Amino acid sequence: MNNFFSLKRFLHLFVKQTTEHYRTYLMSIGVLAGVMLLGGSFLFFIIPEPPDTGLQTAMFVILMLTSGTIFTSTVFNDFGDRGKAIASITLPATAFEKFMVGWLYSYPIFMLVYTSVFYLVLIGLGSTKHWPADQHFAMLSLRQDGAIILLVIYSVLHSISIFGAIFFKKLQFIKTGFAFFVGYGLLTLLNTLFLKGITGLNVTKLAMPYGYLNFYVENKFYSIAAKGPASLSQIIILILVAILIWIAAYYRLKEKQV
Amino acid sequence: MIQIKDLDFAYKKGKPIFDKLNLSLNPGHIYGLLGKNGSGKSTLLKSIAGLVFPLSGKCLINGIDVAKRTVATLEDLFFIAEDIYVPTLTSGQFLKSTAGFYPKFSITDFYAYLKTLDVDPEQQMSSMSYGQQKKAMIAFGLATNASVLIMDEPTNGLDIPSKVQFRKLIASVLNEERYIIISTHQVRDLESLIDTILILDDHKIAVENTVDELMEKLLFGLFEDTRGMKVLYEEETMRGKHAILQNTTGKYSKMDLELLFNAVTTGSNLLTEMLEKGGNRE
Repeated sequence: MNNFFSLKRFLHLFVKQTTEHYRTYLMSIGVLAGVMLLGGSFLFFIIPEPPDTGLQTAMFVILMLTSGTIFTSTVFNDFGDRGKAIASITLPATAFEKFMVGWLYSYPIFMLVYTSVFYLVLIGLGSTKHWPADQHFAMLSLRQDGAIILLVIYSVLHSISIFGAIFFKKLQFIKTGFAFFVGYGLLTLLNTLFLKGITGLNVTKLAMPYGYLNFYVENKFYSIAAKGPASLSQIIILILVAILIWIAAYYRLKEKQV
Repeated sequence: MIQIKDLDFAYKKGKPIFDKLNLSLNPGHIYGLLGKNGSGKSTLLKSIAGLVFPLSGKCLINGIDVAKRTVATLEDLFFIAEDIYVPTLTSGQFLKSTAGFYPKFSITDFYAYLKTLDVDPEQQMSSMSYGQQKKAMIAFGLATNASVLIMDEPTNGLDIPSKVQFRKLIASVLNEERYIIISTHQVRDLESLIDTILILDDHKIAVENTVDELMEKLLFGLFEDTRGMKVLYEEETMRGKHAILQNTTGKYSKMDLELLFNAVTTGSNLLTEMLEKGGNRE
């Protein structure tokens, strides 16, 4: 018997998860569509010009990161409640299969559903308003360079959210968010001290990881940022960070106690 | 065989729940686990099911460490918690979504148990009363035909007829391969059901004896005066003295589990020493 992964068992588990939670998932999609409709209606009917692709992209990114992390924080709710956790842990499937069901729902399925709902709302709103002849409504395209960066950022935030969903028993989203901001603040502080240490410069502002390095030399202000090939390394490092946190989350689930 | 070897467990540092606890359980028995509030009854059950990990020591089911949570172990184990969880499904829908995980599951048995326990298979489980939910999960747990059936306070929330049905059902499903372990503080509910008594006290198993062993060694009764008798423990009441005596005559009395529990947990050294001599502890 495979004690790591069995496709048959995984599919069975996936069906069980869907059967037991589809009402919540459908309601979540309803809420998401409602938020998009409400916000979209405001943009479409209050602003005289059609929303440009830049604004649409901003909305797409903000809503995706927010709703995605909120949803991810809930996928392991069953492991936070005592009664549910006992049923979930003792269910005859491996921790990896249980983890993958949550991962699948909160990452690829969420992305697919989110993007579909976003475009449906966008098409719906776009077709309800008639613009003057000189104004043209263009929809955002996901085939742009920024899509990869968005995917990477979502991966990192997703990995942190899924870890928090397993680590915390209650109020997972709030606690994970709090821990994330505290952690990010500490990382920025350490990064600033580290940069001061290796450059010996008078770093004037807090230097965020992969952000600008601002300093004065003989009353001249300098601002340095990584560019070109460094961006690729940043993406690779962020992907690695996301993978590491996913692995940590899996082990946290494997060792979950009630 | 279920073996617990030198189990140390604590939720907080310096406050041990178990201290080198040892226990061996054999199939074909209904074990009644008793203990005061906070003595670690639920924790012991959770240790047996691999839901918590010991600080040191091991809990093995047929030689496999339960902390590994292997699928084979989980397929042959069912845990009915005190705080049960039921999804927003009917019992029939729950059967479809979950029974497939248990290779020995019997659909016929499940519906028969639901009928015996008077649970409507068409009613949504989440809208049932706590007692009905518990009965639905008991029916499911029994129908899995898992060898290890663990129940934490199963009679909590059950009405009197349901408790009677529960006792009958449990007695009927016991076979030579099955371990049924029940923790309870309602000793009267299960007095007639359990065949081996486990009493947790002072971070250890203080009593681990079959009912037959206890009855051979002990004599329970109500006496006006116990002077001159080999009294191991007694409680003064309006009607006389409820006492546990050393059974030297071979007479068979009706066991008073509550009295035995009080004797052990209030520290009757005479009694515990006597039981230790003939107990099946390692």
